[in-house]
Amino acid sequence: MLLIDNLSKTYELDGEKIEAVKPFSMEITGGKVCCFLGPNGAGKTTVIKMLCGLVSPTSGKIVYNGMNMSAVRGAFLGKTGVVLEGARNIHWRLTPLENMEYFRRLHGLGTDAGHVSSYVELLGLEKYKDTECRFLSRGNQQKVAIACALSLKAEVLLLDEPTLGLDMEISRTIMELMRREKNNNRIIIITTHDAEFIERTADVITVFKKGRVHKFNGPGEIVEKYAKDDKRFSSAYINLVRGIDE
Amino acid sequence: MNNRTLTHWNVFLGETRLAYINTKRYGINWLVGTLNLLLFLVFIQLGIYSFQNGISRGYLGDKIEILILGFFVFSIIGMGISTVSSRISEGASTGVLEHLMLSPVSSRYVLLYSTLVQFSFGLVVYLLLLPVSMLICRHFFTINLPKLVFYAIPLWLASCAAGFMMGALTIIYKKTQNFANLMQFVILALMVLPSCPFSPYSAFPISPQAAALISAVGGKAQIGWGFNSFIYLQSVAYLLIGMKLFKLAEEYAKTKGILGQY
Repeated sequence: MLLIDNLSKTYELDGEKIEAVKPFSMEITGGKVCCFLGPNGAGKTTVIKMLCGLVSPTSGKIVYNGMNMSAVRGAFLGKTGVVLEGARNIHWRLTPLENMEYFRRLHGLGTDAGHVSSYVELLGLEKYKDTECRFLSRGNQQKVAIACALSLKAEVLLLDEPTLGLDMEISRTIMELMRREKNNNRIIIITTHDAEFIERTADVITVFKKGRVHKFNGPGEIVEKYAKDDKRFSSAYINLVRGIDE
Repeated sequence: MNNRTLTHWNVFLGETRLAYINTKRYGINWLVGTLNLLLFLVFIQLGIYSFQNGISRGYLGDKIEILILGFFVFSIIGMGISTVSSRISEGASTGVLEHLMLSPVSSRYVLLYSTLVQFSFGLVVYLLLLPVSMLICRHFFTINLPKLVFYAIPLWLASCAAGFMMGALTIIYKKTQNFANLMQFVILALMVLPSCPFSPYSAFPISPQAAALISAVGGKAQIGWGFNSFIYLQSVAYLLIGMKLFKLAEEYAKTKGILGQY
């Protein structure tokens, strides 16, 4: 279980304090996909970066299976796979297979050809497995990044906008994978703006707006509480966000 | 091997494999670098002989050995200092910088292993090219290999210390390429300081290690265990300080939220 306790982040820009994330707490258990939603600049990426230690929180703590992350950061990172936003996750000069091998090593793991190949196959990368990543399309590069994170056999997966800029087919492949991975009792946290992705995969939804956090038990709860005539999740979500504004 | 050691070993193997793939895939870069080194070694020998003007061949031979060693020392220092910063800059442009920070062994060790791999590759290439250049110039001399390696190790450690300090600046101030030009002169200054045997200059990083290598391997001087222990301990102390500064810079960047911004 991942426990976020009173976590917040305040930046200082030109002497002015900007509260990127107001103090919030939540628990995320294994076997569930937690989606972080919210408009651009709402603090979703900051929270993902605080969870993996790339940004230091201003207050609060993160506890994983009873251990405070600041005390056991190395051990926690050894169990965490991260896909950051944009094209910042793989070595462009390495092939998909080499990237997966390198990132396994970087996490202190040995090579596991069978395990790595299974993800290459699952993500439909066999054709490109020996092609340098700089020659791959954005979608395939993103698949490689996700394959690298998954091949770590991580207990916690943090994915920042994994389907951004991808076509529907690739997005659906990633959705399928997330559903598969959550059945392995992994904790999966995803930030996304993709309504279909949320409807199909989210078990828990956390909405970030103006630095504040609102929690829901899946897209159904948002539809139930905020949908008016249009019963689609996307419309209900917009009503929710407008409501927060008011 | 316990879990912690195994983790570090795997990270080291990953860095070795990365360097190997880059060398193999971009062989032309490696070839040009190697050819540069060979040409330098050849021309330094041929050049000095062309100006002999009555000076004994034996005397010139000694000067050549010192020059070649001086160049070796300069290369090791340059490699130690630049690898950390260039790895950070490369990571920032290709995007994997933040992933180095996500390694369970910490980015400092990943960068240290990366530098160690570069140092080992560089040492092997240098030692292979030296006899080739001797054959080409028909000027032969002997180098005590164990002694060379013994003195190259603390030199590399001290250079890495400076590399981590430069790396700390790179993380915070981002564009430190201009420092690199200045560093060449700093390296040369550190190399020529009379810091072996003990002098006030011995307190500087890199300087006593470089002087000891040139004196012991080039000048065939016998350096006592006191000074040998000093250069090892001093280089490790500076390395620890460099790594600590790097850690502080990393924490500062994480607090400010500027780690991945370039």
